[in-house]
Amino acid sequence: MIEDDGGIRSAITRALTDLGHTVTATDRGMSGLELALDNPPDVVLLDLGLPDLDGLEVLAMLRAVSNVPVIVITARDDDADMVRALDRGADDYVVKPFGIEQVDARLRAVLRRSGSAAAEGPLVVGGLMVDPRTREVRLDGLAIDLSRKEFDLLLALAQRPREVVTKRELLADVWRQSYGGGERTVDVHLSWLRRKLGETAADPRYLHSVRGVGVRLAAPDNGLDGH
Amino acid sequence: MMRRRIAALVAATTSAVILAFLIPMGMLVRTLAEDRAVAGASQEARGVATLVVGVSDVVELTDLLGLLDERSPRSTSVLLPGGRLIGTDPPGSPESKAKAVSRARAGEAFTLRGDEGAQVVVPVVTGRGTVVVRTAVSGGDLRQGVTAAWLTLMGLGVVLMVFAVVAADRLGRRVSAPVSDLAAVAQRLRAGELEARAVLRGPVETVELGAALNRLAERIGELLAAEREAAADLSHRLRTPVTALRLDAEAVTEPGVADRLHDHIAHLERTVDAIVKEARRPARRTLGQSSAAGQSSCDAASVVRDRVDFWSALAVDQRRDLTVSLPSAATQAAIDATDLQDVVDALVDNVFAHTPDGTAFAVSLTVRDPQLLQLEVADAGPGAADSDVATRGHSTAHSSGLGLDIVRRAAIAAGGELLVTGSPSGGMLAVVTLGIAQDDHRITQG
Repeated sequence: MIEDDGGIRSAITRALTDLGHTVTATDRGMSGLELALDNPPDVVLLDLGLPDLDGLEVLAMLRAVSNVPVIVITARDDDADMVRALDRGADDYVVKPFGIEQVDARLRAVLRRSGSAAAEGPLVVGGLMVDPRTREVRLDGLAIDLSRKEFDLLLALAQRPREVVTKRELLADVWRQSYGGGERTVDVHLSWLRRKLGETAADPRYLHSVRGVGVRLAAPDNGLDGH
Repeated sequence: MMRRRIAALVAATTSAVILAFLIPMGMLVRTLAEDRAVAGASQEARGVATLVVGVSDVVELTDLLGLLDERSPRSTSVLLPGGRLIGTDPPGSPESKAKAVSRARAGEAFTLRGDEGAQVVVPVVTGRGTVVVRTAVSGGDLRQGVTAAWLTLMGLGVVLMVFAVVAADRLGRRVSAPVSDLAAVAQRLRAGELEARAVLRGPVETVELGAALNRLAERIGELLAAEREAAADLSHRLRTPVTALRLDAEAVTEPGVADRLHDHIAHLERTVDAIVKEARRPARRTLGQSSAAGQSSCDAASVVRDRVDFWSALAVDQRRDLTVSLPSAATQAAIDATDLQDVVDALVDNVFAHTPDGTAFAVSLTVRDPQLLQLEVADAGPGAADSDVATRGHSTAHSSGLGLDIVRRAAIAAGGELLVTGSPSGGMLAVVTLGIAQDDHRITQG
C-alpha cells in the first residue's frame, strides 16, 4: 500500500491484516515502487496524492515493469480522474471516504479477475447466465436487457451464488458507497432486477431476500444446480 | 447606433460648412447678374446718347430706337428738350419719372434700381437743350441666369452632403463593427463559452479594448481552474481524515458505540459531500449552462416522473399503493435536474424508511402560482399521533434528517421552502415549493 496519510495507512493495514491479508505499507511513491519490485505483491493499493511523485506517474512507472493489479485510492470523485487512472493501467479504484468492506470488495474483485482467465467466463446459476465480458444476461436462453447498475448488482450476486450478501457489501461493491442510508437504493434496483427476471418479492425464484441480512442469488429449487 | 451618430455628426458639420459657403456664393451670383444687366443697359444708353448728338431727325431716331429695342431685352427712350418722347415710355410712376428727368436735366447721369428692374439715365447736352436718354432693364433681365446658378449650387451642395454622409457611414462601420464584435465576444463569455476570444482589429483603442477583454477571459479561465483545484483540494483535505476516522471506527466492536459512531460518521460524510458539492457548484453552473444566465433549470414534471417510475418497482414489491399526479405540460423549475432528483429521492426514501410495507403514498406536482411549483409527498403511515412526524423531520437516525436537510437547502436555493406536517391520512406530508424558472431575457446582437 502506497498512502501518505498515516491514519489511513495504519487503519487499512490493521483492518486488512485482521481480514487475513499481509500488508506492506509506505508513504512515498519511490519507496513504494522499490517495494513492489523487490517483493512483488498480489495487489497494490495506490493513493494518487503522494508527496514525492504524482500517483499517476507511479502507476505509469509500475505498469512499465509489472502486471501487478493496482487499485487506486483517490479523494477526487470526478469522472475525468478515474478515467485517467484506469487509462494508465489501474485495475480498479476506491474513492475517499471508504470503509474497509469496500476495499476488501475491490481486492476480491481484482484478485478474482487476475486469478484465472476462466473466472472471466460466463457465470451460470440455474437457467441464468451472466457474462461479465459481454455484459450479457440470459434467462433460460432469452436475452434480458439490464441497466448498468442492475447488471453490476446481478454480477456481484452471481459471483457469490447461494451466499447471503449484505446490502452494505452490495453498496460497497456496486455503488462504491461506504456509508449507510443507501439501502433503499439497493432495494429499488433489486425490485427492478426481480421484475426483469419475471419474479416478485412475494414469489421469488432466483433472488431471495433474507430479512435484516441481505439477499441471496440461487437457482430455483426444482431446477438443476448451476454447477 | 454608433454608426448613425457618426453619420449624423458628419451630416451636421458638412451642412454647416456647405451653407456657409453656398449662401454668400448665391448672393454674389445675384449681384454679378444685376451688375452685368445694368452695365449692358449703361452701354446702350451711352451709345444712344452718342447717336442723339449726331442724328437730329426725329423719324430716323425713332427707327433706330425701334431697331435697338428689337435686338436687346432692354428698352431705351429719348426725351427731347421740348418734352417729346421717342421710344417706349419707361416704367415707373409719373412722379418718380418727373423727378428722374429733372435730375438728368440738371446734368447728372445715374442708375435707378428697384424691385421691378433698373433704369440707366444719361443726359446729353445739345444746342437745343438737354436730351434725356433712359434705358430700362426688366426685373427678369436683372435676375437672368441666377435661378439656374442657384440650382447648380444647391445640387452641388446636396451631392457633397450625400458624399460626406456615405463616407462617414463607412468610417462609422469601420469603427463600430469591431466594437460590436467585442460585445458579441463578451456575450459569449457571459454565456459560459470561455474559449471565445476577440479578433484584434479596428482603431487602436478598439484593439486595446479587445486585448483587455481577451486578458480578462484568460483570467476568468484561470480563476475557474483555480476554483476547481480548490474544490478538489477541499475534497482531498476533508475526505482523507474522514476516511481514517471511518476505518478506525470500524475497528470498534462494542455494538452500541459502533452503531453510534457509524451514524455520526455517516452524517459527517454526507455533510462533507454536501460541502464539496456546494464548493463545486459555481464552476459547474458557469461551465455547464451555456444558454441560461447563471440560473439552472429543468423540466420538473419529467424529472419527478422519472424518479417516481424508478421507485415504483420497490413500491410494487412492498405492496404500496402509489398515486402520482403531475402537470401535463412541461414546467421549468429553477433547480438543477440533479438537485431535483436528490429532492424527490430523499422524500420518497423517507417514506420507505419510516413506514411499514403496504403503506400507501402519493406524489404530486402542481403549479401553485405563476412563480411557484409545489411538490407534495404524502404517506398514510402511522405517526401523526405519536409525534413521529416531527421527529422524522429532524431525526438523524440513518441520516433521514440529513435527507430532509438536503431537500430544505435545495428548496431554499430554488426560491422555495420545505414544510413538514401531518397528512390527512394520518402520516407525514412533505410540501416543497420551488421557484419557476423565468424566461431568460437574452440580449440580442444588433
